[in-house]
Amino acid sequence: MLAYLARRLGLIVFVAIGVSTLLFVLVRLSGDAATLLAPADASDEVVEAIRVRHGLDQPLIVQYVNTILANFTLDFGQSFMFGLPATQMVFERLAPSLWVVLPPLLFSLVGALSIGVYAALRPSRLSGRALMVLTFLFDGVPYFWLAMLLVLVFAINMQVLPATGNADFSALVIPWTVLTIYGLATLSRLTRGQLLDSFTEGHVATARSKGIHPARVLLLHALPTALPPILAWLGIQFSLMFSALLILEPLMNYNGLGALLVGSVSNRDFPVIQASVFSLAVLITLVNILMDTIVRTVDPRLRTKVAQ
Amino acid sequence: MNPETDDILRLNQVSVGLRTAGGEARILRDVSFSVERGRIVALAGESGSGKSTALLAVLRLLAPGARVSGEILVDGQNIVPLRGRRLRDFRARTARMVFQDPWRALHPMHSIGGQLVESARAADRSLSRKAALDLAGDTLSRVGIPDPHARLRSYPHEVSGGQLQRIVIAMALVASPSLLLCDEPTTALDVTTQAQILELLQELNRDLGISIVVATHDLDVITDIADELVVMYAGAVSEEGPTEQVMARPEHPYTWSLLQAAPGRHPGERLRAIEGRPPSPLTVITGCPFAPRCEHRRQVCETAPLTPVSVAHAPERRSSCVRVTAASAGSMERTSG
Repeated sequence: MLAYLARRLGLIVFVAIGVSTLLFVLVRLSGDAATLLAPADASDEVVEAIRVRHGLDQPLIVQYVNTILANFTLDFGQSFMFGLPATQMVFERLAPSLWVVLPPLLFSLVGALSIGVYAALRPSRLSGRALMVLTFLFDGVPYFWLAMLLVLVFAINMQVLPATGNADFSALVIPWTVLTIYGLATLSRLTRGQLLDSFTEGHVATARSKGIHPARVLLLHALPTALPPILAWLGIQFSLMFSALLILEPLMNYNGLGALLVGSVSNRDFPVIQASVFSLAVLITLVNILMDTIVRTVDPRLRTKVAQ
Repeated sequence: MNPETDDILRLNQVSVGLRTAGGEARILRDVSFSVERGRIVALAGESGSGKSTALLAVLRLLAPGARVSGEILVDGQNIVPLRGRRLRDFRARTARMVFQDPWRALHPMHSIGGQLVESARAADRSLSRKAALDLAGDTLSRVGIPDPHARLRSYPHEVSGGQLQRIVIAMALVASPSLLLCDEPTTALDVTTQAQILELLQELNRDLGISIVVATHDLDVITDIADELVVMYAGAVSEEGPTEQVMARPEHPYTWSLLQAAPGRHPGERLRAIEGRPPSPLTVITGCPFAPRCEHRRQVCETAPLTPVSVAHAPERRSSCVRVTAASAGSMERTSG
């Protein structure tokens, strides 16, 4: 298990190099940063001075190697806009964003397991089908539209929840609701489908033939074989939710990583863009490794080394 | 039905229907047969003949929408109306199933020991974990698993197919059931292990007195160990009787064709297939279900009853072929030359 973890964690190095390279190329393709950094009426000399100060005058290959090496020490330079270390800015915004994403991830897992199990036990009943139609509806509703709708109803019309801000817990109710519904849709359908497959498997028939209580058959026999794809999807759902923050946070004026990233893209604040995307890529890879590790722990077939 | 025989299992006019998009599928049609205590009975027939359904019906493991009519008596108790706790207790203690494919029958994520312990404790709730584990170890060595205590900690994917089927049988035995139902127990295994598994079943029958029903499509495999043979076709029983007699002198053209179709029956010749296909379970059958494929079809076959009746010259045998039962004339061998 430890060797497996070490091997998987080692692969993060390659993810990091890949992301750094991609970012370096994309950022350079998007235009001249020195011109942007300078005031609109700045003279050529001023623009040139800015270029030199930020190392933008050096050959691309030097800039590239310097960037990669610096990235590995989590040094992304100072924010063009704020003059603060980019890494520090990102880390300060990471916690609030995780606070928006992680609870809905848990809610949607618990909710999806409940809905999926309920619907799988009644595949042809009206209630089971109605739930599935509802999840399609959840899937079809864009999360940002839902967020705006909830802000309109609960913040503006009824004035029971704040529309914006990091102020307190109440500001999180709308984003949590939106992201939970967003995650619930796919996860509950996946749970139902996996469980229905599981029910047709031989080992579930065996369990029934042993005279075991149906609840035990469901929880200890059918659910475990249904679980690995659900857990794997949870890792993907984490990244989907984080990307939803790029729209939700600016929309609700929430001070998280999503808002920071969007803001720095429009400002061409390269160090902050690079620091945030780099951290996100590593974070998402870590979460997926975590999910894979959990799956390996529950499924002995994946643990066994290839037979001697 | 003879009151003084001691039957562990008796099916009385059992029909199984399943509502499908194409209409009502009749999977079993008025099936009756009985298994005397301590005997091995083979249910033979091609796929779709209803032999597996008959076994599943005995454990009430049919698909949720399946409708069962008739009586299924296990140890004298009709199990068709059983529900909930009483049904689970019946499954746990009285009749156990050995499925076709041992790789699918065992839970891939549970240890072998865990699955055996669960099985033993389902049958006897007073059994402690420790006692159940000891019982599991003893049973594994009883079915010929080397190093049973190491195996208890293994997972199914770490064990070979022949051993896995022994483990599946052991999982049934820890419950000390009076009836063991085996659904094609050797079909998924290679030829050498097939014989070993059948030997094991015979041994368990002899030493423990456990009654066994084996569903199979391979008559040659089963005839060595089965006392009685029940031949099924299109969800109905074609004929029934002591194995050697049925094999030597079939009293139903279908049995005869089935025996002729077995590889090795006519060395050097092309394999003899039975022309045509079995009827779909969706069709309404009047008369003998085998008539459309039968070489000896007559007018009377169209109105023949579905249920086999005793053959006059061999009272312990039953056949559903009207030509045999009405005339009680010769066996198939004589009539078909």
